[in-house]
Amino acid sequence: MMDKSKLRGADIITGVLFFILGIYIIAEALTMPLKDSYAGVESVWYVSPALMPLIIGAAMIFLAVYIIVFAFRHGGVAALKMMMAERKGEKFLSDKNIRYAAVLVPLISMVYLNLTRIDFFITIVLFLVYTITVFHVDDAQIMRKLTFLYTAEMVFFLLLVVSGLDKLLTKLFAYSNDILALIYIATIIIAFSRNIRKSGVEIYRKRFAQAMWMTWMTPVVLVPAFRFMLRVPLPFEGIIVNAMSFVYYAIKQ
Amino acid sequence: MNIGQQFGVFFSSFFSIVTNPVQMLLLFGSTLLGIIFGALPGLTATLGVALLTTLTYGLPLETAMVALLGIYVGAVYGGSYGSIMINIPGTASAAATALDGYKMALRGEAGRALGLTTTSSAIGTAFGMFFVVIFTPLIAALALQFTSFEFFLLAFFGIMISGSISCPDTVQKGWISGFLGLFLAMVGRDQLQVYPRYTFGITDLESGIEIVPVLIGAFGIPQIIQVLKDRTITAEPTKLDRVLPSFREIGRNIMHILRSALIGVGIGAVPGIGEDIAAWVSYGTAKKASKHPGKFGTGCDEGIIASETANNACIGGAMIPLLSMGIPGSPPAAMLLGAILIHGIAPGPMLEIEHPGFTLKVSAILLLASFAMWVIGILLAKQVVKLLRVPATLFMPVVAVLCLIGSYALGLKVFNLYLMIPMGILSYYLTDMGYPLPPLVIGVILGGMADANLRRGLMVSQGSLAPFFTRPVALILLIVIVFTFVTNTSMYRNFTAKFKKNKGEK
Repeated sequence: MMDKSKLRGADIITGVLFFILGIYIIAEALTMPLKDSYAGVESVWYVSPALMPLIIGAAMIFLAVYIIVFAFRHGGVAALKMMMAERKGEKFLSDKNIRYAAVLVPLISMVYLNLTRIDFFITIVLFLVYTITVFHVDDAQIMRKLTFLYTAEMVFFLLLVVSGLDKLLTKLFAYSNDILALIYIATIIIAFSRNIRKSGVEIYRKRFAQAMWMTWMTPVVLVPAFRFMLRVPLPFEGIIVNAMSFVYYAIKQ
Repeated sequence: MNIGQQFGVFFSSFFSIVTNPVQMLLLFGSTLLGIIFGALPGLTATLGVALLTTLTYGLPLETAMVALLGIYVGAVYGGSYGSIMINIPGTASAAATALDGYKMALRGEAGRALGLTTTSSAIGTAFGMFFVVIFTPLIAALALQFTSFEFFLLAFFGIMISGSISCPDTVQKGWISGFLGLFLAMVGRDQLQVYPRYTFGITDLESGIEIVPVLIGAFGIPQIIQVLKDRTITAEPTKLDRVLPSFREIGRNIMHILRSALIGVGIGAVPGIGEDIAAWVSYGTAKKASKHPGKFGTGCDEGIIASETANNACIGGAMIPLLSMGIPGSPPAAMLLGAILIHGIAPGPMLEIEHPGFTLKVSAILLLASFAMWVIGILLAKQVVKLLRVPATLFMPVVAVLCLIGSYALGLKVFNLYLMIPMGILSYYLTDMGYPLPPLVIGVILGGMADANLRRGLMVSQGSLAPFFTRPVALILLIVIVFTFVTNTSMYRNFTAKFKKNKGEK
C-alpha cells in the first residue's frame, strides 16, 4: 500500500473519481425504464432495472464524499501538493517509470495486439523472451534499451494493424505476421546478448541462459498441453501450432 | 439425512478417493503444488486455486475438487516455509509466522519449527473440516427459510463486514470497493426484464462480466505487476535439519491449538475475510493469553502454532458460508466458488437438496488434503526449501501466461482477456491506495443475487418495505448493517470518545 503520508492526497483523487462514477451510474440508471413499459411489460419503480444501480450510485457518491472530506481533514491537500511537486521533479523516462512500462507494455501488447494475430506459441515466446530476461538480468541500462526496442517493435506492428497492411501481407503469405514476430524475437535475443556482453558482468550471462531456458520451455509444455490434451482451440494458430498439429495428427494416424 | 447416513456418505467418499489411485495422485500432486505456490514469495493460495481452476474445468467435479482443495490447503500451509527459512512470508497468511519462525531458524531449530507448523496446520485443517460437517447443514437449513429480502440483505451484510475488517485504511474504502463490485455485477442484461445495463453497445458485455476472469484479473495481475515492479530479493534459506513433528510439544500445546483453530474457523466463516486476518488475530490472542507474552517475537513455539493452526482452520471456516449460502468466506474460497459454478453447481441452501452429500464429500477431501499436506510436509520439506532459491522474476512472467491462457480456456472468449487486463490494473491501483479487493470480489459475486432478490421481494410485497422490519432474520441483518455503518462513522467515534472523557472526569 502507498505511504500513509501520500495516501490522503491520493484519496482526494480517488474520491473525486468515485464521485464521478457514482454520478455516471445514476445518470445512466435514469435512462432505464422506471415506470414506462419495456418490451411490452409495464414497469413499476420497484421492479425497474434501474433500482439497484440507483442504490449503488447513491451509496458511491455518499462514500466518495466521505473519503474526500476525511482526506481534507487529515492533511489531504498538503499531501496532494507534495505528490504534485514530486511528480514535477520526476523525469517521464525515469528508471522507475521504465520499470513500470517494462511490466505493462508486453502484457498489454500481448493481449490486445498479438494474441489474435500471431501464432500462440510465438506470442508466448515474444512476451517471455523480453519479460523474463529484462527482469531476471535486472540492469537499469539494459532494461531501458530493451524496453525502447520492444516498444518500437510493438508500435511498428500496431501501425501495420491500424493501416490494414498486416491483412494485406497475410493475404500474400499466410504466416507473414508470424515471420515478423520471429524476427522481433531474434532481434531481442541479439540485443540482450550484445548488451550483456558489453556490460561484462558474469552473473548476467548465467541469468540470460536461465531466462532463455524458461522462455522456450514454457510454450513447449503449455501449448501441446492446452491444444492437444485439454483440446482448447488456441486464440490464433499459425506457423508453429499448425506444424505441431501436423506432426501430432500424423503420429496419431 | 440422519447421522448414520451422513457417516456413511462421508466414509464412502473418503474410501472412494483413497482407493482411486488417480485421485490420490492428484491429491498429493496438487497439495505439493500448493505447498510450492505457498512457499514461493509472490505466488498466493488464491492464484494457485485460480490457475488450477483453468486446468481442471474439464474434469469431473469430484476430481476437480480434490485438486482444488489440495492446492488450497497446501498453499496456505506452504506460506510458512518462506517465513521460517528466509524471513519472507510466502503468503500474507504466514506473515505472523515469520515473527517467531525465523528466530527459531536462526537458533538452528528450523526443522523443529517446520515440524510444529506442519502438524498444527494439519490439525487446524482437520478441525475446520469438522466444523464444515456440523455447521454447513445447520446454516443451509436456516438459509432455506430466507426470502428474497434476506438474500438481498445478506449481500450487503457480506460487503459491509468484509469491507470493515479487510480494509487496511478507513472502512469506507472497503465499502466503496464492495459497491464497485456490485456495479460491475450490474453490467449486462438484467435477470428480470433482460434490459441491457452499462454495456456501451458491446455485444460481449450483454451476458455480463464473467466471474473467473474477473477473479484472475483481480488477484493475479496485481500480484504480477507488484512482484516485477518492486525488486524482489532472493534470500539464502537457513540450514534445515531433520523435520521432526514434536508430538510432545503438540500435546503440551493442545488447548492452545484448539483455541487457535476455533479463531480460524470463526474468522473464516465471516464473508470475505481471509487466512491472513485469522493468523494475526490468533497470534494476538495467543500473546494476550500467554503467561509469558514477552517471549513472543523471540522464537517461541506458541507464536508459530497460533498463526499456522488458525490460517489452516480458516479454510474450513471459509467453506461454511460458501457451501451453505453461496458466499465465499475468503479470497481463495471465492475462486473455489467460481470453479464450482463452472461445473454447473450453485452452492447455497439448495445445494444439499440438489446434490445430496456434496458437503460431506468436500469434508472428506479436506481431511485427506490435511493428511497429504502433513505427509508431504514431513517427507519433502528439504526439497521444497531448495525452491526458495528460485527468483520470482523467473516464474512470474510464466504465471502471467498461465493466467492468460487459463482465462481464455474457460469460455474460449478473447473478450475475457480484454476484461482481465483493465480489471487487473484497476485492482493494482485500488490495492495501492488502500482499497481492499475482497469486498470488490464479494460484490461481483453477490451483485446479481442482490439485484434480483431485492426486486423480486418488492414485487411480492407490492413495493412495501415492511418485510425488512417484520421478518426476524431480515431485521437482524438490517440492524447489523446499520450498526456496522454507524459505529464506523467519525460522528460515533467522537461521541464515544467524549463520553469516555466525561466519564473519566467524573
